[in-house]
Amino acid sequence: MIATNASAQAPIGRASRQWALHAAVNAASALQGLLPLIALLLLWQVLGDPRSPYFPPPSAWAAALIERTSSGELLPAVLMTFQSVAMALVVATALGVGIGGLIGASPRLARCLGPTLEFLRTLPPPTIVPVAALIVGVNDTMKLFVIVFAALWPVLLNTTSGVRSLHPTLLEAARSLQLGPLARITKIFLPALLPSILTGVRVAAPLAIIVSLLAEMLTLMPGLGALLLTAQRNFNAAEVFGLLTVVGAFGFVLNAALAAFESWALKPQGRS
Amino acid sequence: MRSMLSRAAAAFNAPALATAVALLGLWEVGVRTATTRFEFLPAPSEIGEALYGAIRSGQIIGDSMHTVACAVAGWIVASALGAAIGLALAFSPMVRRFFGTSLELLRPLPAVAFVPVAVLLFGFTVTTEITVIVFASVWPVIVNTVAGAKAIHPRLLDTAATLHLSRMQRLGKIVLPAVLPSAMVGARVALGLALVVAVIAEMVGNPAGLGWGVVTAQEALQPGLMFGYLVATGALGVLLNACLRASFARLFPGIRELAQS
Repeated sequence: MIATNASAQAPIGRASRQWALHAAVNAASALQGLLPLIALLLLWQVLGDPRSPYFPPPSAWAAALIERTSSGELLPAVLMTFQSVAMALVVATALGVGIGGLIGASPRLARCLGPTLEFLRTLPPPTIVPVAALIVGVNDTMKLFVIVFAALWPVLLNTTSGVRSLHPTLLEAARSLQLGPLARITKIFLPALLPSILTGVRVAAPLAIIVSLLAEMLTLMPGLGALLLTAQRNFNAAEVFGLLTVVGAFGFVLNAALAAFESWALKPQGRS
Repeated sequence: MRSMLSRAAAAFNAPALATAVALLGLWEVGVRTATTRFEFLPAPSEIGEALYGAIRSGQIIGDSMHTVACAVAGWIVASALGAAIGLALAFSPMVRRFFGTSLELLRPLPAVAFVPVAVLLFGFTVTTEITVIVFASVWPVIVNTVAGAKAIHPRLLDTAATLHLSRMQRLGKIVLPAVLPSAMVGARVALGLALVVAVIAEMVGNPAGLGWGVVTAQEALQPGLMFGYLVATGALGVLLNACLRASFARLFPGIRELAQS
């Protein structure tokens, strides 16, 4: 709980060399772990029939992707999906921390709102997509709404349980220091809750991607989901497989970025 | 029986009920009086009516049966497959070394993105739906099985060695019982996921079941029915989870944490 910077003062040269060694070992073992996947793709490439309507080899995927990129469709679609996911995550985090914090702090509120929220949480977010499309209409607001609805719960629940497990000493320290409400939030609550909040965001991110893709598929709003569905409707298997790798990379990069952000944000607390 | 009743009485939460009723009332009044911007927003009474009608006509029951059957079928395959993969990953360094990263790379692939591929391969069929369900819900089982296997106390394995248990005996008498609790936590997560993914697959892959019901209700501009499907899907999730928890508690009475949480 106490912020320490002592470990950062360690001899830097040795630490960085160790880090490089560690990274190299990690990379080597990761590469080893990738071997079966690479072997499978290679076999597919060598044995696959390039004109196969169902199993086009990886080179055909790449060709299809390059064609989409040069026609100027792929990049805007990726950016569009990323933009909606990122914006929804920000909104969901703000809402989740706000509501979750209040519910965690007030048992009475938790008792009143708990079951209603519990019921809302059981509604599968994907089912919300067509509902929102009919009621709100097909536009960016609706997309934002459905993604936020999916991504809200992990953040909210994690914040609530984070608030409940705050150590009483922290609250007493705030009282004995006579901190105002604002200082109490920024100096005590947010730093102490940060790990739980960030865990919630990391759980929420894949959900946000799924719902964003689904919304794009169902409404054909511009984005990766719409590209995927169009490719499927045109029976363009190579493009479908290619886009699948793009979506996979998208999720991977987003998760890695969030993990990096988490370890950066938690570093001052010595918990990274 | 009495203890169950008293527990139900203790769990009864009047303020929560009042809040829910007040919110519903506010919604009802809001829709009936004010001219909202959302012309298709149904009042709660309308939703109830549509849901009741759909239940009486059997439409929503049939759709639910389809969705649940697919979800459960996919879930069973995913649980068996996930437990096997998880045990292999946990106990064979070779499997872990060569397949670990590949699996890690496949894991974050969103299930929705997998639907078009499955549709291309299997067409708009039940196979598509079940394949997608298995792909999506196998991960929690794998992750939890591996975690459970790693948490086995070394002394247990030492005991197995001392007793000269054979490989199969060790698996049946030591490993499986020790892994079971956490594997079942994974299975519970997987069941919830299976239901959601079944609905997704029905929306874009296999035109049947609850997911397709929602989409058709949307296209037919029947907001009441659409919300009815939404409520039914949510209720079904709760029901399935409760059934699973009850049957696990009955099958394996020794495992405490399943009864709670």
